[in-house]
Amino acid sequence: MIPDASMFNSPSAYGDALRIFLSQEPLATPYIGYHTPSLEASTKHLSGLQSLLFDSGWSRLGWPEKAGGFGGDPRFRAAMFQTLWDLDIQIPEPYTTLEILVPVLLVYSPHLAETLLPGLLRGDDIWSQAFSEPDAGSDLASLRTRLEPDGDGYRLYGQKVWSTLGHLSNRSVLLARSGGPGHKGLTMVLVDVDQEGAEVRPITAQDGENHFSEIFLDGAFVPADRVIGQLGQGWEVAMYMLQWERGAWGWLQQGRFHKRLEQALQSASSNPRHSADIGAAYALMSALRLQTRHTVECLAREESLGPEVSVDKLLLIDAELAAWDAIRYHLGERFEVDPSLDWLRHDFMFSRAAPIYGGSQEIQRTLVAQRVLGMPRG
Amino acid sequence: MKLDQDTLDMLRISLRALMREGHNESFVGRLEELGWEEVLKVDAATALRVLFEIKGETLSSVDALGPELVRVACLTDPSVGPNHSILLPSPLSNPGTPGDTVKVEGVTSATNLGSQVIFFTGEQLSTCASSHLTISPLQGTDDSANRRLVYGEVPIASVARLSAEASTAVVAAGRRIIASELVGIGRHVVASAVEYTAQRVQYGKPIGVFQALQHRLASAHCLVVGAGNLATEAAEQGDEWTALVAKCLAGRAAENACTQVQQCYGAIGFTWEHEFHRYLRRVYILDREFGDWRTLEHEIGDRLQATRVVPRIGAL
Repeated sequence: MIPDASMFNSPSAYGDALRIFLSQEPLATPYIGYHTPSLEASTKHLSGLQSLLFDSGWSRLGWPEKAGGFGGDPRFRAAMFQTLWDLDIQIPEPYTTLEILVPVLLVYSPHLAETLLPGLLRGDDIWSQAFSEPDAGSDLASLRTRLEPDGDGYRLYGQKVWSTLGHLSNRSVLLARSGGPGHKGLTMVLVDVDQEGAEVRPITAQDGENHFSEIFLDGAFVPADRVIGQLGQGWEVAMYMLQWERGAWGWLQQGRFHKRLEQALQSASSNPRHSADIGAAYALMSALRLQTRHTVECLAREESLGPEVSVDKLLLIDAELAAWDAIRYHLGERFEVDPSLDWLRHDFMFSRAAPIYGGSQEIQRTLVAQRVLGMPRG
Repeated sequence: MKLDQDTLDMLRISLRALMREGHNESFVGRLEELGWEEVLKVDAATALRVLFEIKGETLSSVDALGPELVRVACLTDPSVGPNHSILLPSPLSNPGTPGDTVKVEGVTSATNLGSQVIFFTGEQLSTCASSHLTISPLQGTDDSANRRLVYGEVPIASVARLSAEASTAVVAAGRRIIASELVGIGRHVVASAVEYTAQRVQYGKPIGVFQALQHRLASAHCLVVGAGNLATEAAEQGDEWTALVAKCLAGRAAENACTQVQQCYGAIGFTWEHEFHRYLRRVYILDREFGDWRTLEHEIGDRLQATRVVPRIGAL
C-alpha cells in the first residue's frame, strides 16, 4: 500500500495508520527503542529509517506533489513525528533541519525544493543552517560574510559558527552580505559545503556531541540559481524561516518530552516528593503542545504568524527545562551513573541549551514585549 | 458548530456591559434576555469560556458560576432541577456526619438560594432542602467577591446523594470555568501594566523601554497564553483531566502575572485606590476554588506516577 493524503480524514488517522505500518514492518524493528548518545552513529543508523519511510511513501505526505511529496498539509508531518516518538523511534536529526529549511524553499525558491526535496527526505543529502558568526549572534543583522558576484554565480568569503549538523551536511542554507550594512544588504543562498573553498570543523557541545560546526568560507562558489528568494531579500527569508524554527520545531520537541517523561515514570518507583515537579513540568508541556499545534495549524493554512512565534520558543524553554529537571530528579542517583542511560544524560545536558539556541530567552522576551505587547523601543 | 467571529464580538460587548452593571439578582434574567440559551445550544464551550474570561477581566462578582454548575449537575443527574442552588466546598471546615444528622457547609455568591441546595461532602455531592440552613457573610481576602457561608445540620434521611458522575462533572466544570476566569484576569493585568509603563516617565523616557520591565511582562504574557490554550482545550474537550491541568496552570499563570505586574507599577500599584490589589485578591480566592495550583501540581504528578502514562492533551 502506498499512502496518500486522500486516504485519511485527519492527520491523526494517518498517524495511527503509520503506527500500524511501523509495528508490523520487519525493516522498522532496528529503529524501535534504538538509542545512542553519538550524533554521527545515530544519523548513520537512522538514515536507513529515512529510506524506509521515503520508499514506502509515508514521509512524503505533508509535502506538495510538485516537490516529490504525496500532498496533504504540514500537519501530516507533525503527525509523523508524534507517531515516531510514541513508538520510541528517535527522529533522525536531518528531519529536524529539513523541517526548518525546506518550507522556506517552497515559498521563495520552489525550483530548488522540487529538485532537492526527495534527496533530503530520503536521507541522501543533509543540509545545515549557517546564520551566526563569531561577531554576529543575537545581533544577526551585523553579519559580515560576503557574497561577491563571479561569472555565473557568486563566491563566499567569511566565517560561520553554530551551524547545526554542519560537519555531517553536504549543503548549507547560508545568510550572507551582498550589499550595504543592515538588514537590506543580506541574501540567503544554498551552498555546497563539500567543495574547495569551504572548510567545516565540528564543535563539541557540553553533552559531548558535535552538534554544530564552524564553516570557513574562502571563495566557495554559489551558482546563480542557488540564491533563495532575491538578492537583498535575505532578512525576509530568514524571518519566514524563524516561524518554522520556533513553531514546527517546538511541536517536534514536545513529543520527545512527553515520551521521555513517560519512560522515566515507567523505569523508576513512585516517589510522592517528585509529584510537584512532575505535575508542573506536565502542565508546561501541555501548554507548549497546544501552542505549537496552533502554530502548525496556522502554517498549514499558509497564514503568516509574525512575532507571536516567540511565545512558542519561550514556552518551549520553560517546558524543556522543567521536563528534564523532573526526569533527572525522578531517576535519582541512577541517572548520574547507570551506563545504560548514557544517551539520556546526553539529552539532559543538551536541554540546558534551550534558553540559548535559536534566539536566546532574552531576545525572545524583548521581541514579545515590543512586537506582541507593543511596549516602547528604547 | 462554532460561534462565528461577528457573533462572538457582539457577545463580548453585551457581556462586558452586563458584567459592569453587576446586578447579581437580575444577572441570570438579563443573560436570558441576551438569548443565552440559544447561544449555549450553538456553542456552549466557547460561550462559557468567553463569559468567564470577561467576568475575570471586569472583576465582576455576579453569580455566574453557581447556575452553570447546577446546569451541569442537571445534565448528569435527573434529580437535579432549576430549584437547586449549589454550595462550593467550604474553606473553613470539613463537613462530617455527626450522629443522625449531616453537617452542611459551603459557599455561595447567589443572592437567594433555591428551595434545594447541592453541597459537597469531600468529593461527594448531595442535596437537601435549604429551608433550615443559615447564611452569613464570608469575609476575608476578597470581600468584593460577594461570597456567603451557608451552614447547618440536616437529618440524614432528608439528604440525597448525587451520582459519582455528577460530582466528577461538576468539579471538572468548576475547574475549567475558573481557569477561564483566571486567564481573563491574567490578560487584563498584563494589558493594564503595558499601558501604564508606556505612560509613566522616569529618566526622561517611558519606563516601558527598560528591558527589566519588558522581560517581566513578556514572561507573564507567555504563561497566560499557555494557560489560555489549556483553558480553551478544556472547554472544547469537556473532560476531567484537561480541566485539572488547565486550572492548575491558570492559577500559576495568574499569580505570576500579578507578581510581575505589581513590580512594574511600583508604589502606585501598592495603594488602596489603585485597582491592582482587587485583582490580586480575586486571584487568591479563585486559585483556592477546586484546588490551588500547587496542590493540583501534586495531584497531577501523583496521578502520572500512579498510571505511568503521560496523556497527550490536544490531538492534531
